Amino acid sequence: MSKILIVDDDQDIRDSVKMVLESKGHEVEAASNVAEAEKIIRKGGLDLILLDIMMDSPDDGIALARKIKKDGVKAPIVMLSGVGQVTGYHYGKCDEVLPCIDFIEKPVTPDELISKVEAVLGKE
Amino acid sequence: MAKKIEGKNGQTIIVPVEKRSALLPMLQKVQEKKGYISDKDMQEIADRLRIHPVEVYSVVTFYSFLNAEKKGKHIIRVSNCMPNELAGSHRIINAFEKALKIKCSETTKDGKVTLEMTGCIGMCDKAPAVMVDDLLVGNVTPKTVSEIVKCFKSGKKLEVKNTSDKIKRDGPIVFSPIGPYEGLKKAVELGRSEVLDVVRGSNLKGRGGAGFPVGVKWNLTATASSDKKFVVCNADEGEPGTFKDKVLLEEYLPLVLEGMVIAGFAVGSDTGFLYLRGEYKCMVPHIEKTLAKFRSAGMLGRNIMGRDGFNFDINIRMGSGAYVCGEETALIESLEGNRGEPRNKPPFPVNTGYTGYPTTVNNVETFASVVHIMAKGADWFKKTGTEKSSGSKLISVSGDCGKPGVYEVPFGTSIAEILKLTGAKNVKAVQVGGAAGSCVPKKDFNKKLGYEDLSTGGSIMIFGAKRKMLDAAENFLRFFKEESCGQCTPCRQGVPVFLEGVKAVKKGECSASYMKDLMSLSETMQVASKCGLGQAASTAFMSIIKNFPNEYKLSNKSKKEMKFNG
Repeated sequence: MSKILIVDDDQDIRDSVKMVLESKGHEVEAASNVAEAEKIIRKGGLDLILLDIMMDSPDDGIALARKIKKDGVKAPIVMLSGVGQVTGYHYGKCDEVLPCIDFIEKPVTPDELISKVEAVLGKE
Repeated sequence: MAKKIEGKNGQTIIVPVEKRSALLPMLQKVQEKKGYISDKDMQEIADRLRIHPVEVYSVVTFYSFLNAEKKGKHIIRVSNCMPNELAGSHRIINAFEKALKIKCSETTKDGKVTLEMTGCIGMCDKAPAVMVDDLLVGNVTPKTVSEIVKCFKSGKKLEVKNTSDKIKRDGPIVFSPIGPYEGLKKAVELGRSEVLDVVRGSNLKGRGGAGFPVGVKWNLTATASSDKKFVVCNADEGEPGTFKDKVLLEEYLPLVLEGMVIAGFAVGSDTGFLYLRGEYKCMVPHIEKTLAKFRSAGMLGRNIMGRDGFNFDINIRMGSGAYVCGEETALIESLEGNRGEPRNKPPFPVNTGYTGYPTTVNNVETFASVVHIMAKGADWFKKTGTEKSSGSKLISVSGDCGKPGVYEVPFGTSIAEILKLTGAKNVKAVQVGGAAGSCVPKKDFNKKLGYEDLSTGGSIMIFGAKRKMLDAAENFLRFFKEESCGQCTPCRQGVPVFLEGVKAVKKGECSASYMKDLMSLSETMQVASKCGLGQAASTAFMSIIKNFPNEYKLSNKSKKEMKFNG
């Protein structure tokens, strides 16, 4: 069992991710914005952070990912964003500006979500 | 950049590597050499770029500084934008017509001179102003007109002494003291991610007028997946009454270029473009000289400041007289060698910009502000301005005031304070944001500059007590009719309807129901137009109708029937 944080401003996403991952025995905490996320991260003990990109500001997730790594948090970050192939945006992994381990593009099926999350946790 | 390829008949053809994007510079070169672009030239260019001649023709006919037909050896363009009209541009046109013995839009019989009217040429503080070929001439009087004409007749070279305005360059951010390359040195010291965080933390918003957060734009460009990225400086300052970028490019160019290099470093780009409006062509030698200085100082080129892999250089690209190219996607289209027609968004330029690569487009003033932010910190920057609008704004003040010119004021400065600063008295109204902005009446002079109150790209036009506001509305609408790219229907068809509307209102032939139709059309244009130009085309007219009901003839009953929102 791993401890996972989902950060997303969309309640439906938070609820469904929580439900899917909890069904696999993981402990899931949810945050709807950067401030809430930072509070939870500060408590420590996280194994994975699922992070939305566009929240209050279109680059909240990017800035938060950098801050998390700058603060020395070890938990891997997976960006979970609706911005991707459909909208013409393609994010690139770059430790300097977007320190994440992987991307998940919304909409995502429960199976895809589980397999991506478990693959990352397995690697870690 | 060019490469040699073998043509159909074995001949060697030189093809620019960038191909289509070389179209506009090629056309500009022909225009400069011959004074117009003939059918034969268009065919040759089309062959060289391997595109259809119709595409070349469509580009030539889009830009007002490119001519498909022969004009005079010299072209005199009299600016008829609002501040110039207030300063009596019609008198200057009359004087030229008399001296040259031609009407406006005609060419003298000897083929030497063509007389035209044009929009804003960035000389509103020195109105009335004219453009003689590439030269900008301010404070024109009938005496200046006869001197110019005499020069043409005698074949003597026209020498212009444009006295710069007497405003002391003093301000909290952009005009504050800073050492050479101070911002860039700090940026390299901090590293990419820290630069992005500092710019984001400063809450700097785009100074072109739209106010999009710069940190967000840079972050999205930096994180876009691509092996090639571009930085574009939008120096296509076309909004009537705006000339602050001209002052920055003339007097603070190193700051602007340094800001571009910092942007290149932050977003991971090695190529920058400075897109300069056609009206500012006379600045090219100055810009090239400064770029050369940057290169020899190691601030442009390869391994900038000795940092391995930090490569960046800047190319100058000229506009050719199209207001709409100030809109970022239209500007990108123009850079690519197309008609400057705005694109649909999304995708946004931060991911799909110039030639499909991630591109950050920022205003001249934005780049200048970035350098100070890097050198002095985000907190220092945020000390000036308001909570939602950090920093300062450069404003270009023109019209009925004692001291027109460029000022730097903190966000949160009221219109009344600006009027005091510029020596304006007995003011009826202030147009904030140029032709696309809104007209502020005396009762609202306590309103403040800021994205949360009065947003502006920098244009402040002052109208004295005797000015007729409907004349102003007509001037703005004429401008939009001329400058609409024609791509989307609400703007193309809507603006002429408003122009008819303002004429009807002036004649007292506008009924309340007609006015209601115009209000409804205004809403449609705001919602359905593709770009900011169309969305804002009716704003000035509607604000004048709303704020100056005593200036038009409608029965009191009709006026009461009309309800204005906001």
